[in-house]
Amino acid sequence: MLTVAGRNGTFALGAAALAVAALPLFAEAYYLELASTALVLAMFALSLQLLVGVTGLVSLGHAAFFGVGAYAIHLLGAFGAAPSVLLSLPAAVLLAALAAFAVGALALRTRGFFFLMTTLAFGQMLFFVFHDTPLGGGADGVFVARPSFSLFGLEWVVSRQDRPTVMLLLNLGVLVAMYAGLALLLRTMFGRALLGIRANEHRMRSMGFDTYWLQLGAFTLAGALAGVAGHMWGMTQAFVSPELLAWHRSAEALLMILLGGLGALHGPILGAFAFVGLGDIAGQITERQRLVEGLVILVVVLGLRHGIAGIRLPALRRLPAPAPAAKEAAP
Amino acid sequence: MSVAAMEAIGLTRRFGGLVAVNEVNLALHVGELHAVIGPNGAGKSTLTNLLSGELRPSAGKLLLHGAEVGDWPSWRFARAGVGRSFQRTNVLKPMTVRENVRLAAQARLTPLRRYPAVASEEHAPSEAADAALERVGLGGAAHRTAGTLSHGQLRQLEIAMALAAGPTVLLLDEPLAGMGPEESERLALLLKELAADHAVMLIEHDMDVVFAVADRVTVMVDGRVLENGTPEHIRNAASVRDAYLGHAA
Repeated sequence: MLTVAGRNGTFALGAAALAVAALPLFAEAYYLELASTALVLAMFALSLQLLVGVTGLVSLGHAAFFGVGAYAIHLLGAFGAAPSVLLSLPAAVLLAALAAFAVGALALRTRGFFFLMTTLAFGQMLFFVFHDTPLGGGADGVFVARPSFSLFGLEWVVSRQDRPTVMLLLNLGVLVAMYAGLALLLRTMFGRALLGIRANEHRMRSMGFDTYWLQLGAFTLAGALAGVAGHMWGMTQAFVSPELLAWHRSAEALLMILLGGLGALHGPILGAFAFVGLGDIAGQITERQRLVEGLVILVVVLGLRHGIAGIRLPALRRLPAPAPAAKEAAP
Repeated sequence: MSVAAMEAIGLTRRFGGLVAVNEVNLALHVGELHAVIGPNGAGKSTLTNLLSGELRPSAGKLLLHGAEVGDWPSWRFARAGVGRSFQRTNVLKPMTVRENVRLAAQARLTPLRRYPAVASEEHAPSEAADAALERVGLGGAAHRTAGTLSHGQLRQLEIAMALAAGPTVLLLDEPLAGMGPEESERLALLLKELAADHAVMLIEHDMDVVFAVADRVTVMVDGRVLENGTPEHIRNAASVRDAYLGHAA
C-alpha cells in the first residue's frame, strides 16, 4: 500500500528542498532552469500518483490536463496583457478540473486495460483540439505572456536576470504545497477510502462506498493538480505547444512514478528529478540520449522493486528503534 | 409478525440457461436467525448475492423494510443497513485489520461526515471498529496487516466488517468455514446473540451449528426452496431427509 514518508523521510525531503532552494547561491542559470523543469515535472508526476499509487487507476491521458493548464495562460492572453498569476493559476486549475471531470465521468465506466485505452483516446482528442484548431494558436506552439506578480494594480517586476531564481523558488513552493496537501489528504477518510479502492474495489462497493464518485473525485482532483503543474510549466517557459498534451508525456510521468517508487507518495518527486537529471547527463555524454535513458531505467526498474524511494541505507537501519510500538502503529 | 426486514418474493436469477435461484420466497425478521442450507450448487451464494445487491434479480421482488430495492446498486444496500460477509474471504489485504473494519464503519456516515475528517483514533468509526473487533475476538490483531491473518482470523474479520457498519440485516455466507472448533463455538454464540436485534441469514454446512442456533431453516435444492420451517420441522421432514440430510439424520 502507498505510504507517506515518516519522520526521517520527511526530514530528508525537507533537507533536499532546502538544497534546491540554495541552488541560486552557487549554480548557473542553466541548472536553475533545469531544476525548475524537474520541479514542474515532479508536480505533474505527483498529480498522477493520486490516480496510480493511491486509487489504483493507470491513465495514459493525464498529460491532457497538464496541457490544458498550460494553455490556460494562452487563452487568458486573448483578454489583453499578461494576467496576474492570481488569476491565471485558478483559471488553469478550473479548466483542467472541468476537462478531467468530463473525461473521468466517461472513462471511469471502464476498468484496467480499457480504462488505459479510453484515457489515451480522450487525451489524444484534447491534443488534436490544441494541435489543429485556432484555439491553440498553431501546431508548433505559441509564445505566451508570463503571468505577472500583480495584485490590485501593484506589480512586482522581475528582471530577466532574477527570473530563473524566482521561478525556481516559486515552483519549489508550489511542489511543497502540493505534496503537503496530498499527504494530508491521505490521512483523511477520503484518502483512506481511495486507498481502499486500490486494495479491493469490489469490497469497497459492498461496504457501502459509491466507488464511481470517489474515483471521479480523485480523477478530477488529479486533473486539477496536473493543471497546476501545466500552468507552472507555461509560466516558467513562456511557451506552450500541443506536445505538452501528447500521450508520451503521460507515459513519461508513469515512468517517473515507476522509477521513483509506486508505493510512496514522494516516489514521483524522486523519479522526476532522476529522470530529468539522467536526461541531462545522457545528453551531455552522447547523442543517443534516449538509449542511455532507456537502459538506466530498465536496470533501475528491474533492480529496485520499490523504486528509488525504496532504497534504504543499511547503516541507518541498525540504529536502535525509538519505540517498538511505533512500527506497529504505522498505518 | 411485523413487516419483514428483508423479503424475497418469487426471486429468480438466471445465468444463461441455468436458473441458479428459482422463485425463492424468503422473509428475514429482526430477532430471528434464519439458516439456509442445501447441497453445493443449490444457489445459496447466488441468493446471498441477490439479497446484498451484488447481482440483480432476473425476476421477482426484493423488499427491504417493505420498499422495493431490486434495482439498487450494492453500495446502497450496505448504506441502508444490509451487512454481509463473503464465502471466499474478501478483505483489503494491504491494510491493517482495524482499518478494514473502520472503513466499513465509515461507510454508514453521511458523505459530509464521511470524507473530510482526518482518520484519528477518537473518531466515531474507530470506536465502532474496535467494538466490532472485540466482539468477534480479534481485538488483539487490530494492528496486523489483514493479508497476514490466518484463514480463521480472516473469517472473523469478515464478520467484524459486516458488524461495524451497524446493520439491521446480516447476510453471512459460511462464516464459520475453516475456523477452529473453539472459535467456531464462540462465533456460533455470537450469532445467536446478534439475532436478538438483527435479522440474520446464515448459510452454513455444519448441521450441528445450524440446528443449535437457527430459529428458522430454509432448505434449498437446485435453486428452489424445498422446505421452510422450524428446525424441528426440517429435521423431521421426509422430503429433506431424502434430498439432503441422508437417512441417518
